[in-house]
Amino acid sequence: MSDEIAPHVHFQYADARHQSDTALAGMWLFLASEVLFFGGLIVAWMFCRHWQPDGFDAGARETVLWIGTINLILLVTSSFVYSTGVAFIEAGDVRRLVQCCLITACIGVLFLGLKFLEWYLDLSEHLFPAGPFKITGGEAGGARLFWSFYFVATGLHAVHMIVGIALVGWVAWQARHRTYSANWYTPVEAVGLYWSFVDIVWIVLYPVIYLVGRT
Amino acid sequence: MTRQHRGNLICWLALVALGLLEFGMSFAPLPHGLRPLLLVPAIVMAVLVALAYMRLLSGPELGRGFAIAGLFWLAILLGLSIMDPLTRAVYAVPPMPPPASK
Repeated sequence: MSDEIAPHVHFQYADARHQSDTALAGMWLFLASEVLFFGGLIVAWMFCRHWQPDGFDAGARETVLWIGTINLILLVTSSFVYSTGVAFIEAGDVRRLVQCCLITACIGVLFLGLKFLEWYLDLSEHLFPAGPFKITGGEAGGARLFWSFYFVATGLHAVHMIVGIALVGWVAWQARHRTYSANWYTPVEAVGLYWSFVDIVWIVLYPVIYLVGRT
Repeated sequence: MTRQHRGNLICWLALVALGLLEFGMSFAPLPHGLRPLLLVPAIVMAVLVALAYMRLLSGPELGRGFAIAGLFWLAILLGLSIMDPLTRAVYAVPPMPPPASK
């Protein structure tokens, strides 16, 4: 066996394909743990809605539907743009990859901006579950549970979005310095997996938060 | 436009259509117990993203294994958790007898 190794291949891997597959499998393993992390949130939602149906739905009716819907379209579009960037780097077009990463990051920032606006509107309406609360009477307990779930779920998702924007920006910076080529772009794919997963989380949270309780 | 670009575009159009479908469905007068059916388009959307944008089928086999394992344990988590609210019988508390007068 030759002592020489190809560029981007660490000594413990047989070849570049082996190294790339291992990195991507590692990202899938991380995402599998994230599935269970967010799965706990869905369990909380199921239990709270089952035992406090009227109050929980009363809380859900107060959400800002238009912001949630626009954010859904934005995130779906961002995944599309990033995937287009991956297709470009597969063809060796680094400039287009950088452009796609920047557009993706901008969409992510826009998503977060709308999310902050939504939180501001929620707090203005006295929908924070602690302290004076908008919904009173028999539905108040279930509604407070819903809004606790809402702030935890959207807060955790926003943290993932911030990490994702930083990673996409890092990929753009690396690509701009010609780190990637048609022969090696594993980090681009790995970050794409993460970004699409964050997109999937919002795809699931959207009906859970905004639609199911809107009777 | 390459085949990959075309596939990405078709997937995006399908995702937007499904998103608008579930948005429209939310205004339908569904009974409380059937409202979680609004999650069905979302599940289809999630599968589309995993297949088209995350390239689940063409990725490494080990990655597919991890993805299936994640879904398996999610099914265990959700399935066993929902057993309690679905099977628990809630009985009314019987009225207390009046305190005996001395």
